[in-house]
Amino acid sequence: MSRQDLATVGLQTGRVLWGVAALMVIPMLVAVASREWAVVADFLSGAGVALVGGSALVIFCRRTPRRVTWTQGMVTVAVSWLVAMVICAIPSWLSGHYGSFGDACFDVMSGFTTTGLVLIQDLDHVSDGLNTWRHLLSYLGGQGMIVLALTFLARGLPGGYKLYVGEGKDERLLPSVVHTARAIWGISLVYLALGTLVLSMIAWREGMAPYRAFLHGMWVFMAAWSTGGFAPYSQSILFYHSAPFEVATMVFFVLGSLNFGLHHAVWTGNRREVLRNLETQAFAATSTALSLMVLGVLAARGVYTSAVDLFRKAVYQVLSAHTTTGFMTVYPAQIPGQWGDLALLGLTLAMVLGGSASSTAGGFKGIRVGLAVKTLSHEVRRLLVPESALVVTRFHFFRDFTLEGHHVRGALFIMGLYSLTFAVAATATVAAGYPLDRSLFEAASATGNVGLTVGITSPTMPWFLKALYVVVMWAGRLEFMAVLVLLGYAVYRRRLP
Amino acid sequence: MSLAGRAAERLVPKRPLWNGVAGILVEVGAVALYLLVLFVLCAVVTRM
Repeated sequence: MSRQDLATVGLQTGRVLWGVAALMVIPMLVAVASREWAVVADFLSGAGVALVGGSALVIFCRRTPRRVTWTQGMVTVAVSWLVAMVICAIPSWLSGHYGSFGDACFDVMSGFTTTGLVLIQDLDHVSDGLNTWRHLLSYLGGQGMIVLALTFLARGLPGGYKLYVGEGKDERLLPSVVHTARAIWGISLVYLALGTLVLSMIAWREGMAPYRAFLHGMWVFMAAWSTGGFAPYSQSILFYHSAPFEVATMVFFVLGSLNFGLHHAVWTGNRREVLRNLETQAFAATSTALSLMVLGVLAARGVYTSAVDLFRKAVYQVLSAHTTTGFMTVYPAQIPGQWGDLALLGLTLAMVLGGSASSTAGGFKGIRVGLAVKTLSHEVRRLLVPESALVVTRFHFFRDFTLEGHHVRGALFIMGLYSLTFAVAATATVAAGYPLDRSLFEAASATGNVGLTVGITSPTMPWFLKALYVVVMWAGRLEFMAVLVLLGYAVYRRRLP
Repeated sequence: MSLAGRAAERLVPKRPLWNGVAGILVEVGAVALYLLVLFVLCAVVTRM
């Protein structure tokens, strides 16, 4: 990578920081509405640093070609996420709710990557401004914040598709990446309005004052749609003790875990795609199977005796894990303590499988699981027919495909990297002294950007584990490519042309 | 109509507002239906 490449990365990172500064206005406005003047000062400080840092980068790196190459795009995304994490952590850290600046960075990366694991202290007394900031980061991270910043700050950026892919999305809904990004944001904003309205109405009906009901509706919708899992209270969704609230959040986080390509197809008239798409078929099959497994275990152990309780606890947790959301309607200690090992395993598997590609969710992703199953069936059929026979396997994913080697390689490559990262995180957690079953659960939660916890993630966990979880959340959300390119550049830069 | 015109007509969705509203109803309906199936499974499991 040449000096010019670095200048391009610097220029785009500077623009992202301008976007971060602009973004801090939203929690600032909420803080003003809630009369939280100290919080306003925190965000003014954060916005000031972002503005000065972003302007410095833009000024120093302004003389660069506008077209972005693949390497530049990938490195820009990987670097911007890290730089934005540090800058976004400033108002969080100034709030006094974090034990260290590193803990604040952990929570910001958890938000960006829509994970939902938190190190915040005294969450039940966090200001409205900071709560808005936390949930906003999660909402933006789900849609792709670099693409947002560069789409709206640099209109018609040549080579923007590389940044879009770098953020773990590859569905081109419309011919240009700018229109694709706008379509994604259009869908998300329509659902934001609808979801905030529905959840606010429920919260209001449950007894909250209108202003608080609105804030809670907006925060919880942002976390549900982005499959982020942040919540304004430490008891997560259990705090609300409301069946309608739980059902509404389930609908929104399942919708959020669907491929943006699927939303776009359905919204433009191709409604049969919901049933025909391999990814939705895979999600329905695996989530039903894992729900049955957990339901069976809990019913056999006599943990819940009514269908309503099973649905509100077991199904909720399975879908929250499978969509990589991380909302909880039970206490963290209940899962290993009361539910048993088999239920813990079921939830761990759900977290590993994850939601849909090109969505806000993490994990293996449904299309890769579907392709793995198709490959298995293809290979078995090949063994059953004469050697001279040609076996053809077809699948539907927005259009009809014939299964080919590159489909399988692509799917297995990412699944392999996920498995490797998961193994490293689990090993480190065990090495830190935690039991194996809980370590596997927590590592799956961090790698798959889920956010469910059995209590390992806390301000008292070892610092190296916090740092490792930040790295696995970051790598998992970017689907490794951007991170690998950055590492490749760091290791091989002297040998590159 | 020219080839480009026909292609453009295909790309621009007809009745975008109706399609959008119908799309939301289909998506929310499909998820609600799926949740209902899972609730029925809960009812079956508790009676076994």
